[in-house]
Amino acid sequence: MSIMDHNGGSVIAMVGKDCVAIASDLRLGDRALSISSNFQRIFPITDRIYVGLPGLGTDVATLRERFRFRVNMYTIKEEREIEPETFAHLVSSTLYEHRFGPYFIEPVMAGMSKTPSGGYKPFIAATDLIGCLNFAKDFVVAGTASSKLYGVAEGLWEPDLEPEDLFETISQTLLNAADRDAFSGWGAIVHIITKDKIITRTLKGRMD
Amino acid sequence: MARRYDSRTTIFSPEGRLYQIEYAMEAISHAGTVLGVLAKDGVVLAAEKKVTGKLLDLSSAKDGGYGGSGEKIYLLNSNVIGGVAGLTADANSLVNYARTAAQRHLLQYNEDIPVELLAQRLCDMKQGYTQFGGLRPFGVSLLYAGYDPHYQFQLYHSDPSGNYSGWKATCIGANNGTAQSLLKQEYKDDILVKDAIGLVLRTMSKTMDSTTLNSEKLEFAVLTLDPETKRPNAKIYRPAEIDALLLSEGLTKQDDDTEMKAT
Amino acid sequence: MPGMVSMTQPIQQSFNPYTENGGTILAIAGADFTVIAGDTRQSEGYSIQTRYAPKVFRLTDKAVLAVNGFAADGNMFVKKVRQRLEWYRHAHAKDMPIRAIARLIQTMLYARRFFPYYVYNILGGIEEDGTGAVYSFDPVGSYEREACRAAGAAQSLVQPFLDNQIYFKNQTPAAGTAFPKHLPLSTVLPLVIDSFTSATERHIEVGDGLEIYVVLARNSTALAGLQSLRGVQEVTGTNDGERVFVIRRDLKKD
Repeated sequence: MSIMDHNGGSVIAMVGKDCVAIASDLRLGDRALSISSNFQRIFPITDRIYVGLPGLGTDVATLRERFRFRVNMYTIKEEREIEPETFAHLVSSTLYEHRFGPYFIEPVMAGMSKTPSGGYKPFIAATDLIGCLNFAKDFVVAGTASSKLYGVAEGLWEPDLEPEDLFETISQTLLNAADRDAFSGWGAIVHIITKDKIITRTLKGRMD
Repeated sequence: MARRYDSRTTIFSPEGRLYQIEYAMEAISHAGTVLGVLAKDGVVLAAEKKVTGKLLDLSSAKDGGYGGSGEKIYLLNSNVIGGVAGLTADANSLVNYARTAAQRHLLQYNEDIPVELLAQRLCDMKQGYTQFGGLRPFGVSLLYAGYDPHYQFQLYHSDPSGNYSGWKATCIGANNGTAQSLLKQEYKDDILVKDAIGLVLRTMSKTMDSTTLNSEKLEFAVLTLDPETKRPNAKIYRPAEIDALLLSEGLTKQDDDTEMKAT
Repeated sequence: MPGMVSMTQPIQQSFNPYTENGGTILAIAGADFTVIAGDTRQSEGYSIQTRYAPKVFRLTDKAVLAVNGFAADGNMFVKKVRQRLEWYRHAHAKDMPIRAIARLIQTMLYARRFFPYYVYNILGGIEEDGTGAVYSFDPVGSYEREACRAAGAAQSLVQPFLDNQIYFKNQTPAAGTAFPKHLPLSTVLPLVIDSFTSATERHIEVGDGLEIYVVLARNSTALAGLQSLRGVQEVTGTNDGERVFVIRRDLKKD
């Protein structure tokens, strides 16, 4: 079995009107045996950047702490918070450092980036396990249910969804895709990020 | 007289001294003063800037970042503020090392680095420069104002030799002797931060070289504990906040000329 | 040296009788109609063999078979099924009812249990009681009647979308209301087209063209709406009352 499928789990991020959403399931398994139904794989980097880390569980924890190290160093030296695009490149270079012995994670990022005029613009990005960046305009997906997430997202997403509508769209995408994947599910969590607040909700879904 | 024994750090003089280290401390005695006072509920740091002038671009200190012009007082970690006296370039290198050391500890133990441990990390490195490699020591003394859950608020001082000690109140840089004796007289064990601020500013005003006591010459920082979250709160004051503080303490000193014109 | 193979171990060479020709099919059952659709691209690896190779075939006025997987096996299988249906017509003087065709397909597939037809079949049409029916099969004959099913290269993309839109999975109806058990043709056709355009976007083996077969029961309410669409072609063979139509659309060619 592929190492990326060992623990299971999936993440998706979507762009809305002046907002972004990022969501993941909560399952952690040992191949076919499900172990945890509250395994967090989405973490805040700043008030306005969240990163989702689907893939091998031990690497989820390790990468989360490595990014914390590097972002702390960035913040303390630059005396300002890191911007989403910059963080995306930080993720890419951190992964490429291990080009020939990679972390088994395909990160997904969502955030709000500052514009020159002082406003905020929605931002999403994803990389493969060795750091190839993808700056999509609509949505990015990763994890064991990625092909299912692509299918449902392509069918349900439309541009300029308001935060509450984006929440419904990303939730339905995640739930229906995870229900067709044996290794994803067992609970789900969604974060909606706007320029001044973040709303987090857990979803009621099938627990099988 | 001692010429043959001072060009290499790794050599003792016949009198048993390491001259390079002593020369480093001599360099520091000409640098801007840094003062630190430990209180029951926090630590206060103040420093005299030597690099000033109208042409200096301080726009980043005014609005962005953490305050502080980046000459004397630095944020080392969320729970430790450092004050430096000596060669600024050497200080930058040490501050960078301290910040990395703090993150390495966080990565390994998932906790903020204990203050004394951070001081030890830096001192271990500094001592190495006095014994191996034939490289000159760092011409910097540091004050570490920090908090950890084990020993609460602490204040440490380290010098180029790689030695360090813990203090209730101390001073490094120019006029540190004067400041030290002033602190010895006025310091009380159970002092609170709000009084420590006053003590620090009064002592600075008496020992600083310059005639003016304002945000142009002064850097100021306070480390306290947030009452709700129980986490350390490091605050490096912006120029406008320093001026406001001096005003509230009644210490706004003007040029002698302006003072005379007023009276 | 590059290209030189180690001569210590012999390497057994063999002929692989199967290959994958890509493509995707889908079928949805309504109250008095069934829709069976498939894209028209046939590929092998990164190459496109043809932009128009039909995968959906009319068996009778009540049954349409879609075949996907290994095209050679698919095409041959359809020929064999049609032959059996013709023998049945000669022997019984009537068309095979769809549930019988489904069972027939199972036995035909299982007969080749140890050298299977590499095809995923979906049979769609009108049941004896006039309701829409969809039967889906695996390559060795396991089958089941369902309301909707997607198969082929983009099955993992399309099926969860259909779960959500046809079965209303993970959705709760507004208080006091209930979700409909069957959707009208006017809702189903756009869902089919959207499923294929979405699959074409994200899967390289799907694209070029879309062929949708619509089988209507006698006196189906969907008839009026159908005839007003553009490019609708009738392919009904008999006058028994059931009607079969074909709708063709383009899909992206990249």
